[in-house]
Amino acid sequence: MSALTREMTMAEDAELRTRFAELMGRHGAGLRRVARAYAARTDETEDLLQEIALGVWRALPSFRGDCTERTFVFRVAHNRGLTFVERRKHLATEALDPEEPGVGSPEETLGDARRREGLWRGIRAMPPGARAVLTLALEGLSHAEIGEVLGLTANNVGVRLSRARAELRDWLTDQRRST
Amino acid sequence: MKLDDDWGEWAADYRHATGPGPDAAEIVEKARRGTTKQVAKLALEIVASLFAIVVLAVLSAKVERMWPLASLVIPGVMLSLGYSIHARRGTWSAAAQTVSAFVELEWRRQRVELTLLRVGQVSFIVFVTGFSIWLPYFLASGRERLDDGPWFLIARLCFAVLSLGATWLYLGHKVRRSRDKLARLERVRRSVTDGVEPQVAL
Repeated sequence: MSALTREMTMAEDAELRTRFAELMGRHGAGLRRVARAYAARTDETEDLLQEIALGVWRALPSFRGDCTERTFVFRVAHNRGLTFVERRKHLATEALDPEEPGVGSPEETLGDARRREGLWRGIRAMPPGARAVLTLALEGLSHAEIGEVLGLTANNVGVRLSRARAELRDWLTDQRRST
Repeated sequence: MKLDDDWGEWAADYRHATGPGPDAAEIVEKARRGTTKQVAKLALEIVASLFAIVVLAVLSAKVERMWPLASLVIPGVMLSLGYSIHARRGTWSAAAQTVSAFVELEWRRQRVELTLLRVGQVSFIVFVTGFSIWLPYFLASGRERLDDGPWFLIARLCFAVLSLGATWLYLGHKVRRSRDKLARLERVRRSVTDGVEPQVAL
């Protein structure tokens, strides 16, 4: 390898690392939420988050900007999340660990924490397809963007989303009644 | 409460969950270590296979007898390896850069893996049957050293039966695991790709 080629490769590598660090900075919190939608326990969430980030790093060289950065990152995240679900024999619906960020902070009430915990459990109780549509919509992606991530038409996303919302609502109502 | 009101609250609650993102430098380092480990593992597998072939050839009383067999076995192994890599890992790719296409691809790969494992089971039966037919002729031809006594021969036969039994059980376990995995993947696939045209390129 000539010195010039080596220099170019090193420059490309450094650029890729910078891009990756920027992506993690911009979408890190969103990726953590995807991981929590598929894994209940804190240790599993952390492992899945690492797997997702690894997936993004490996797929980054092939990302040519033919979709938005956000859809690219969430596509990889859901691919990894679904692989995680497929590896597990049971659905992850256990309660969150108490040290999970966002729950148990002093400024929120016990009622808020319970409601949020209930929402996460409800999300994890959804079938994988509905869970993906639901979390992407909750993240703020448009129907067209969700369609781009999942390989569905915007209309199909709309139908699936309203079905998933109704399912989640029923689940949460049942939970409230039973407690 | 209306569905739209619920949605606003859910979205706020969902996005309330924050936390540190992954450490980019650590992930890059982890990926590098993973690649090195994979290359080392592959190199070790190749060296071990070559070593086994050489040892077998050297230990054989009549080395020249090995070559007709090797000329059949080696291309067969290479074909099987190539097919296995093609089917399970490498040359299939998702036609579209979407989650549905990825799930479809994973499902197809898993289906082929199960088929390969079943082919392995059948090959094992064929091998054991062929070996059992050939063994009496081999023993009768006097090439086997009988001066070690019958107990030694019985011990070797017991060892062969045990190792073949263990291999059969292991293959059965692999098939069961693969079948369970395929069933789980099928559930995920149905949930994700319901109503979506399959997209897999060969």
